[in-house]
Amino acid sequence: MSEPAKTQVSVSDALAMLADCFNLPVEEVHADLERDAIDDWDSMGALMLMAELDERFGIELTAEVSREMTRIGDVLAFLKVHGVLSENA
Amino acid sequence: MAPAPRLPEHEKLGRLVARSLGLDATALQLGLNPALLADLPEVIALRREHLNGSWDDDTYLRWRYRLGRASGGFGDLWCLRAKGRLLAIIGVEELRVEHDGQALAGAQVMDLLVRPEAQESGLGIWLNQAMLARYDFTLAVGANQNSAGIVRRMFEPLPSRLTFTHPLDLAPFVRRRWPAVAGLPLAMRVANGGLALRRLALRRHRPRGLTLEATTQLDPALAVPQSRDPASVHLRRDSAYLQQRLLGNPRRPLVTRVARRDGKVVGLIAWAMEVDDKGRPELHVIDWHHDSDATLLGLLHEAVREAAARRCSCVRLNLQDSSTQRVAARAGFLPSRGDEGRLCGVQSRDPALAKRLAKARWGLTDASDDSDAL
Repeated sequence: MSEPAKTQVSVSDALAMLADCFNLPVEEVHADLERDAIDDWDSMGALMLMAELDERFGIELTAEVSREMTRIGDVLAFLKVHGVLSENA
Repeated sequence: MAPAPRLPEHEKLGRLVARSLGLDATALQLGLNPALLADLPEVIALRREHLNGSWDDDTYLRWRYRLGRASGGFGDLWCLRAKGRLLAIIGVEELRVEHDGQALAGAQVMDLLVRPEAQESGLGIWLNQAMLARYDFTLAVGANQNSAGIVRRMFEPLPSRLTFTHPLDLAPFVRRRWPAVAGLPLAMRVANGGLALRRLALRRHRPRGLTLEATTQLDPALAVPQSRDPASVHLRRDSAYLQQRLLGNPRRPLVTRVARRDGKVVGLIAWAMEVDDKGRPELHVIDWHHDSDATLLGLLHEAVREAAARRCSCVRLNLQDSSTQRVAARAGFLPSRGDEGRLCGVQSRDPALAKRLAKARWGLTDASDDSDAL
């Protein structure tokens, strides 16, 4: 049985989702934004991201992978690896 | 304050946290248990990884937490174990509160520590929610690196606790702002003479009819004095609790004075003698209980008198409610410049109750801040 097609989002939608998780204005969120510059990318922010990825895409983000993410681009790369980031956005 | 995040409900949160740690949700649930004496070595080892200090942590933990004993300790420490390993701890101290004619069973959460390899799993938040599920509300007073984000974003903020200082020697203050002036002994002597005159003038307004005595043993039958302000949240503290909390602290023994009026105990105050970064003594007021503003004023004058007698550079205390701040100002205490206050907040499963408690008047002292024991 084939796996059901995953929901896909554009880069701009993904950035809006991350802005929501980390309580940032969406216009401030970009791939090069470092984690250290985001106050709310703390344990709570990490949990919000984990919950959002589970809810929207059914993707599992482990604590270990989460700790390795150091910039917004790492989250986008994670989404791409899991096939939920639209290439055409 | 950041907007309250849309936290998944407790069961889903448990599933997510468990999965991120490579566990199943049942294992996570079953792994949370009250700590026993046998858990102490592992708990101490975990705390040593996070906390710097030279205290006897075994003695401190036995003083603070019940650890399965019939007596000893006044809070409960919870351990989260997975695959036989201690992953995290969280402490709670029960609070009996009355507000607006309603009796509430709450708890103060403290000592949250999560092992580094479990960080970013949401475990700290799950533990916090697991404690909240057991009480009408939880209170967080102060926060460590692990818990600051949780307190800031999950709890309704309470009024900040602000530092007030009564200076007794201007030299340390002048040295910080005008080092050249501090080098002139005559100028400092004149300034400190002015301070002494100010103290004398303030003392003339201290309440009459109050007698103060040192104590190391509170009467077990003592009814702890309390103001009757209906807008306040009243924390019910009994004599046995204060005896243990104030006078039994193995890490920082406190000096306690009891105030009587017409023979009846109407107030008590507890303080610690500390040293500043230059090694100069200063008096830090930790806790107080009083029946009226007049009694509080008398208690604060007593702290200032003691500090002056011991040649302290200042008296410090943290104040939360405006009425207490006004009394402290009458005793010569000044607010610290640029003080952002100490983080504290309240949380409840009932959002209306959380909001109501957040709007109420709280008078939390440093006895509610476990940093005095650290």
